[in-house]
This record gives sequence, C-alpha cells and structure tokens, in this order.
Amino acid sequence: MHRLRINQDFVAGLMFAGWGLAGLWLGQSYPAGSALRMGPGYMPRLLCWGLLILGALITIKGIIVAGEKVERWHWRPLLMVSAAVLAFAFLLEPAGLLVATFAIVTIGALGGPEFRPVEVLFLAAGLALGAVVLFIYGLNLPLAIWPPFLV
Amino acid sequence: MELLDNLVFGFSVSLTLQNILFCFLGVLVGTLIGVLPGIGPPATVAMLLPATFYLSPVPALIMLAGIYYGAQYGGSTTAILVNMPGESSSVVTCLDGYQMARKGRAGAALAIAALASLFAGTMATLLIAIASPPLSRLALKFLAAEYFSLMVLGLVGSIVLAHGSLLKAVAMVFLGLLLGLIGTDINSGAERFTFDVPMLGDGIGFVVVAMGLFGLAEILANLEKRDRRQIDPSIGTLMPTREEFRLAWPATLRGTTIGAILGVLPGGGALLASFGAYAFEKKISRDPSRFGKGAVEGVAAPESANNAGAQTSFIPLLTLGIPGNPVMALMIGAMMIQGISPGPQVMTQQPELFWGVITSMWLGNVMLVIINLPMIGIWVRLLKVPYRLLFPSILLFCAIGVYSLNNSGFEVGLAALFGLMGYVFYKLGCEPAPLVLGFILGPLMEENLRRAMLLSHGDPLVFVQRPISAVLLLMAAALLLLVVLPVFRKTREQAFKEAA
Repeated sequence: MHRLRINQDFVAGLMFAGWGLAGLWLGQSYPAGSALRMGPGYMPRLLCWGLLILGALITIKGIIVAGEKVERWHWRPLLMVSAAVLAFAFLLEPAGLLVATFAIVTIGALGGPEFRPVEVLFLAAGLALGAVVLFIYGLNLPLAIWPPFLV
Repeated sequence: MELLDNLVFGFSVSLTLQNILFCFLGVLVGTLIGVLPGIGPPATVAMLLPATFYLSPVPALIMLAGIYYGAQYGGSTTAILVNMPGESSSVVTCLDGYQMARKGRAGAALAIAALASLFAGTMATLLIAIASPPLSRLALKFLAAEYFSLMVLGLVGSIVLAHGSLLKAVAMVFLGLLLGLIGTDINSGAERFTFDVPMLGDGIGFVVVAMGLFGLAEILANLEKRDRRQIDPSIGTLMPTREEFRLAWPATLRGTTIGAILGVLPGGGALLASFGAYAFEKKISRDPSRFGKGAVEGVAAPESANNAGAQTSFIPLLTLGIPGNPVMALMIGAMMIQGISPGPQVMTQQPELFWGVITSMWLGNVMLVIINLPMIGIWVRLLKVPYRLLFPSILLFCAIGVYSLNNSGFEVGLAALFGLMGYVFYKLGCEPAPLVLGFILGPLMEENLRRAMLLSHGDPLVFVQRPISAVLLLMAAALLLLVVLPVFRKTREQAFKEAA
C-alpha cells in the first residue's frame, strides 16, 4: 500500500479546503442574488468554492508529488508570544500601561532561547518607562499609566 | 516645462523646515528599526503609523515614506555586516555583501550600497515625476470595469511573483479576498462572518493583519532559528577602489532599470526587484563563479534595484489609488486616516501633497547616505544587541501600535490570532504577501464588480468590450500563461532558487 506523505502541500491543501468549507457553512444564509444584482452571499460563495477546489488540487498534488516535509513545530515561542500579546490586550485597559508592558515583555521573553530573569526585569522596566514617556506624554495616547483601581 | 515646474513646486513644499525635519525623522527611525534583524518594512511602517496620526497630511506621508525607504536601506546594512537580512528584499545582498565584509571590504560594500541606492532613488523619483501625470489622466477615465480588471492584474502579478507553489499563491489570494469581506456588506447592510461580534462590524483592520502576518509571525520564525549573527567589527575604509567602482556603476544602471520596472508591477516592489537584478547580473557576467564570493556587482545591482523598486511602487498608489504591496496598503490606510481618498484625483486636488511627497523621496535618499556612511558606527553597535532583548521590545511596540489605531484591545488580540496564522503559513510554505494583497483589494473588487455588472445590465462581456479593461485582462492572462509555460516556469524557479 502506498504510504500517505505528510508534506507541506498535503496539509496546506486540507487547510485551504477547510477555510472554504467553513466559509460555505457560515455563509449559507447569506442571499447570493444574481450576477446583475449580487447579494451579500455572491462573492463569499464564489471564493469559498474556489478555495475548496484549490485546496483539493493542492492536496492531490501533495499526495502525488513528494514535496517538502512539514518541519517540527516550536511550541514554546508560539505559545509564549501569543500569550504575551493576549495578556497585553486584556490587561491594557483594566490595569494600565505599566502592568501590561511588564506582562508582554516577561511572558514574551519566556518564549526566547534563554530566559534571564534579572535582565528581563530591567528590560521591562526600561521599556515601560520609555513607553510611558513616548506614548502617553509624547503622543498623548489615552491610556492609564497605573492600574485605575489603585489610583 | 511642466516637469520642471512640478518639481520646483514640489521642492517648495518638501524643503520647508518642518517637512525636512519629518523627512529626516522618518528616515532616521526607519533606518534604526530596519537595521534590527527580523523586522521588515511592512511591520516597521505599521508599528510607526500611529506616530504620524497627529501630523497634518503632508508631513505625515513624507515621514511614512521616509520610514519605508529608511527601513529598506537599514536592512542592507544588516545584510552586509552580519550576513542576516534585516528584511527579505536584502536577502540577496547577504550573498556578496557579507563576503566582501569578510575580505575586509565591508566599508566599500556599504559605500557602494549607499551610492547605488542614491543613484537609483534619484532616477526613480524622476521616473515617478514623469510617469505620474499621464497615468493619472488615463486613470481618470477608469470606470468600475477598468478598476476591476486592474485589480485582477494586480492579484495575478502577486501570484506570479510569490515564491514557491503557484497553486498555493492562488489559494492565498482567495483566502485574502474572503477575509477582506468580513464585516458589514456596504450594499445590503448584511453582516458577514462577524459572529455577532460588534467589533468585527467594520471588518478587520489592515494593520491588524499586517502586524500579525508580518510582525508577529516574523518573530516566531526568528525564534526558532539559532541567532547566527557574527559581527565583524572592522569596517575598513569606506572608499571603493577604482576597480570596484568600474564594476559597480554599470551594474547600478542595470539594477536601477530592472528595479524601476518591477517596482511598478503590482505585487512587486523591492523584493522581486532585488532578486531579479541579482539573477540578471549573474547571467550576463563573464565569470558567474565570482558571485557569492564577494562580487561588487552582486551588491550594487540588488541594492539599486530594491531602492528603485521601493520608490516606483508608489506610482500605482499615487496615480490609481491601488496598493501594489503591503507597505503601499499601509500608506493607503494612512491617507484615509488623514481624510484623503487615494486615487487619480489626488494629483490635481492636492498637488502640494503629491509633489511634496515625491520630491521628499529624493531628499530622503540624500539624507540616507549622510545618515549611513558617517554614522555607521552607531548602527554597528545597535547590531550587537542580542535578539533575546530585541524581540520582547518589538512585541511591545507592535502591540501598542495596533492598540493605538482604534484604542481597541480586541484588535491586539486579533493580531495575536493572525500571528498564529502567519506561523502556520510559514510552516506550510505559503507566502503571506498574496493573501495580504487579496485582503486589501477584496472589498474594492467586490464593489467594482457589482458596479460594473449593474452598469452592463449583468453582461459579463463588459470586461472585454471596454478597451482599457480588455488590455488589462489580456496582460493578466499573458502573465499567467507565461508562468504556466514550462520554459518560463523553470527560469522562475531557478531565479528564486539561485538567489535564495
């Protein structure tokens, strides 16, 4: 039996087809209209079918042609960087710029090749100071510096 | 003479003290961030966009343009000195630039890169000044059908110019177009793919997408590579030898020409220009084996080409209001924030903006040489900052940049999602540029398609019956055909492979 090759094309094709299917399913209630009077569903449906067909073609190509393999995923940077940005997003308004800056810098640094706690602390402090001066005093962004519930 | 009048008028705008200052500031900050490895021009411009909100339109756009070619240029310095491209369009500069540095000719390589860029920038500025007026006049005749066909040509261009698999590039365009439709449909008011989230009603902001796919995904990709920067502290003399000079100037001429042409093409810009120019130099060289071992032409040609390309990519933006690459899309965003709707009317209605920005580009190029050659020591010191300190800082600035657009934490979270998507694309060998172009053009294309069909009473033949539209579609078809033809396909693959 022919062993299924897990290469980039194979996975990418499935991904594109998945986007197409998801779009068709989510957009099933949007009226398509006609070519003369296009409804809100006309373009999305066209594009989703396109994605479905292209995805299928790419998957088939992935099965027939031995392409580049999918390299190992590095979970640590991915998780830490995403978590850092999300933490910033959630903390900025309720907790102010200083807390959010410390969060994004420290959590982000955990995703790096090596983590030096003292160095990161100094970096976060320096960046927090710089961000306050530049964005709040310099550019007048409407942000709280300290956590609003403390002040 | 019309050209001379326009340029004089432009300089009268760009040479005011305020505009000189903002041009300098843009070029300086752009270089500063461009020198840092792992952050390319789109992310740089997106990050600094909020800094220009409080300026009036002319200085804001002058500064943004300065940031763009500053970042472009800073990338070359990194490429030459540490063999790590600051951004993708200086990948090829690494090949010979770093080899020159290893031979102790780093100073000469930097000087040649700077002078080649200056020459290319001067020529490209002239070209913009000459080509823009007739193009805008032509564009004023454009109706929905022409705009639609033009965008098709642009998307086909971005597919042809993407690395790797064509099918995947087409799929990325489709996905980008689809993502661009998220939000309220302007014709019917129906909400599409918004999951009843009110923040998605206006669609996803372009900066969010650019920051995620370029800024965050770049950081993720960099974090899994080992930091392989080796810094050679000795720059040596800045003066190129006579022999180096003799080899460099014809290569600069050729690079400028190739770059200027490829830059105008949608989806092109600096990246393709530098690859194309390098491949061409290698092809026509009497001794191609010198390339990759420190050939002067291998620095002069791609450097002049990427600068010329960066500059001429403003032509479609300024004359048609259509962005050819992600940075130009950000410029559109900046123009709209300033209350200017991009298109052919900008030149006639806001000549001070149009000619001011164009002439400031030449000014900025002169400043680049001044900033970079005598001040090279500062940039070298900056290069020594380890990546483990850099990337959390970049992360912070990206996040604040996204937040400040609409004061929305939601958009920052959305950017994180796009960062994740960008990482998946990176792992699957899918280039993000076609997606981004599709994303920008998606709503515009739908709008123009609808309008064209209404005007023609539902007859799709309108796209081939109107002459300009037909020519544009024919060009798109020809481009596609070229890529599918085996002969060209091989050269395309080879060009990317050789340069990579």
